[in-house]
Amino acid sequence: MHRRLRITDWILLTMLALALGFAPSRALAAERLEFTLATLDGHAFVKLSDFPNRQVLINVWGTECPPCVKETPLLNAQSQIYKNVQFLGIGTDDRISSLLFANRYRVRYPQLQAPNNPAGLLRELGDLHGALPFTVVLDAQHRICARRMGEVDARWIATAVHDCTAETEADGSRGPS
Amino acid sequence: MRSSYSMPALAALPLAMLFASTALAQTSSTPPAPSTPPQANKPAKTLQSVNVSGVIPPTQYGALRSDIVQTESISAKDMANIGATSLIDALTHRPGIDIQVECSVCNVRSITLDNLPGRFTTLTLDGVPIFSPVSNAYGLDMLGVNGLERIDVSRGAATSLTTPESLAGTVTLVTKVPTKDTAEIEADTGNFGYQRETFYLAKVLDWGAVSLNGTNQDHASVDGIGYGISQFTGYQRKLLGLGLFVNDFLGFRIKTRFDYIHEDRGGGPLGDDYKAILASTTGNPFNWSAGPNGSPVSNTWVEPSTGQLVEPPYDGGASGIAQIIFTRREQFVTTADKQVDDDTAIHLAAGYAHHEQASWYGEDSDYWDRQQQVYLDANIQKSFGDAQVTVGANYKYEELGSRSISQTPDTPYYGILRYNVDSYIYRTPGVYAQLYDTFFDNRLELNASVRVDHNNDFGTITTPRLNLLWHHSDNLSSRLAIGTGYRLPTSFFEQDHGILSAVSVDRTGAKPERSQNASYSLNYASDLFTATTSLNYTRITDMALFVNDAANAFVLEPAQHPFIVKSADFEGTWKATPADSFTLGPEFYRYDFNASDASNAALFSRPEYRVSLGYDHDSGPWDFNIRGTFTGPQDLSKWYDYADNPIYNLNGTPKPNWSPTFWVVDTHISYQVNKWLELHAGVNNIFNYQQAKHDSFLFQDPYGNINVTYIWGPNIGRSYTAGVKITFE
Repeated sequence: MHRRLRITDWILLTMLALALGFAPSRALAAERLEFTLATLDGHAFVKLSDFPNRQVLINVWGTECPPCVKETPLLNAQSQIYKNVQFLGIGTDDRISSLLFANRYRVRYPQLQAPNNPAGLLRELGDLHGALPFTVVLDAQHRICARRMGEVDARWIATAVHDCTAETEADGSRGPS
Repeated sequence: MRSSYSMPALAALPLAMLFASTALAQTSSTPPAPSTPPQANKPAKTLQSVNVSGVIPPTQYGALRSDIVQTESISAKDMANIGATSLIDALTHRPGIDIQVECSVCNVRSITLDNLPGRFTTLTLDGVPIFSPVSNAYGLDMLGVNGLERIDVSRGAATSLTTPESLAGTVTLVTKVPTKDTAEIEADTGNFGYQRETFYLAKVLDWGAVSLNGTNQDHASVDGIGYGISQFTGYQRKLLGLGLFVNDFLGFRIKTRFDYIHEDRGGGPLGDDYKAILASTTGNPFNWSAGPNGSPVSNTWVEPSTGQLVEPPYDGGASGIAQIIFTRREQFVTTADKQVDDDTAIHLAAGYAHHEQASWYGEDSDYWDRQQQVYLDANIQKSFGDAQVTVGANYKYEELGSRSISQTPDTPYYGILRYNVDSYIYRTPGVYAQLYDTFFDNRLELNASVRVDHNNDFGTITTPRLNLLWHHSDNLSSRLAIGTGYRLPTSFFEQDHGILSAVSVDRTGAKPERSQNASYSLNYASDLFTATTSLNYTRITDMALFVNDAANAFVLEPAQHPFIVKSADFEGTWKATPADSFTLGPEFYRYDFNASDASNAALFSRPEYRVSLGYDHDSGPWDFNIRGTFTGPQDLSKWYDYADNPIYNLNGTPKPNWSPTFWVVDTHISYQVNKWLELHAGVNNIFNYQQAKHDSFLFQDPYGNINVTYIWGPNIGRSYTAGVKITFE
């Protein structure tokens, strides 16, 4: 009995130490993003750093989300227009449903599985409320320079990509290839 | 039976709010602003139609805005992955959550949160609490997962503003709102006479959507050791559900569901010819010598006090030990939400349930009950910057009426029809207020609330709550919840079927059961690793206990001392490869209560630790998972007060003081053949571990009276299922 109490105390102390020891959150969009997510087919991990010096558009979606469904053909087409931008999709539903959805719409850019608990990633992307669809555009240094909650259109993508390119160039970084 | 009721003045408040809010909605509704492209580095301020779909992580920013603050969430796919067909199935192998079988013959089951008694778990449909201990007793099994979007679990009394009776926590079934035309048909079969057919149809229309779902499910009664007495109760179950979803009615988004439930179940004698079982009143169809510690002869057993065979031999026929329960239930739940303007929202909810049970408890009693429940709720949420104030009122009505006939020959009312032995009527209007705010650049979220309820029997009860969520970083967060709850004691299934044979049930000394709860959790969520560690403390005071007094009256009275349950649990999931994930979930418990209450505290018979392990392999069209739970020993002598109330096996030997440790391992695999066809199969309890193979599944007191034993292990052996699911979208 006494031993169990001590174990509980240790757990409590450890948790408190962890809780107190962590620094406050870094500011969103100020740092390079990085993540490692599995592809929808479960065959590979994809890291953001697999696309060095390249702008990235990340679209977070769900199969039960009407605006996600509506914007998918547009994103598919835009991914073929902006060859200098790497499009990535992150499906938040179960893997098989997401996979079937991506196949149905013949999506031509990589589709990834959201983490088991997507709260952390969504916060990093700036989607505090977990609302879908959510789209961010990263500059070539993989810093967030535009984001949108809700359905995107071609104009928004054009503006976001343009502004991100300009920001990258202003930073003296290598522009999109 | 009292069937009419008057509505106290306080109860009129929600209705007044409903009409007032509707009027407000009609005058201040504003159309959404048009979308504009955002500037770089500035998030779009204007939202188009945005969905928050699927599982919402409990640590998501804004999670504390809700009336019911979830601590865990189980998606429809999580349920499908493990082959769950009912709410009970969906909640297995999860730290801090367990399913307790309360009766080896009728298989009453309850959901335990943090290992507190199942009656302290409140069940809601879309946030509407229209269940009770009577309806939950057998009704939990009948809650199918067909047509659900997810199940939210909220552990702790502090997590719910609208269900103060949830002393241990709340389980909320969230109905799926159709977003596309869908037709799903699923058929499964297995051993032990298992078969299940379900359908789900959904049609999206201009004004909303409709859905229809149905389930037909059968299972044979199962005897694993040759008693001829079931360990696992057989059932024939039919469920029908209708959903109606309206996008805009006077500005309200409306979600409505109606369910019809029909179940016949029978335990004790095997088979489902219930008429024949009830007609069999003499002879011995059972083999009392089967299994471990069985009697040396088949037609009677050894009386421990004398060491002699009980005479005369058993002659009660099949009905003597049968427990047959027929249930019919209709339930209706509707919620309506309106965003009046940027800062104001209205939530309305209503629920109604009509529950009927006809039951025959062998030589104990025959029992018929009818229960009605009504729930009304209205609240207004007003935002002031980041802060949000919720003010509301609800009204809860619960009525139980019954007829019963004692079938126990040595009781004064043997064979006499009596009305309302265990009946009650509770009318409980309440008002509540909740403040949500954020501090430190949204790093700290606070939810503070208080509610005041007035019950017709127990008077005014005030319960405050506080929830804090601290986002240490994007990946790490802490939650602290402190709160109180109260619960009005009912009577029947909570403790004992025996009250139906009692001279009377004295409720005059009963008090509301109260809980004080504190819990802390640390959550970490990264791309490949997620973990949650929780510490929970719950103190129950005035816990309702039945005491059988000298005059054979059952007295419902509060426990003399508080009951305390402390727990620590952890759940971590690591995605080791793109296709492989591992889950570990240990949990530890400590129970403190006074020995003088112990003989009534079998409800607290729980293991001191459990460890859950899981492995998932999801690749291409394959989804495979295997989950196991290792359950630690339980000090049965302590819980049942064996020292003062010894109980025995059928050969007259004492029951063990400790239950053994054991594993229960389940596995499930599915293969997506093409976009519309899925094949799946599962094996539950792979190691075929059964309590009845280690411990006589019935017990007897020192004088040879038999009863159902305490269930500490699996009551059904290895089972196989296989099925097909066809989906058209």
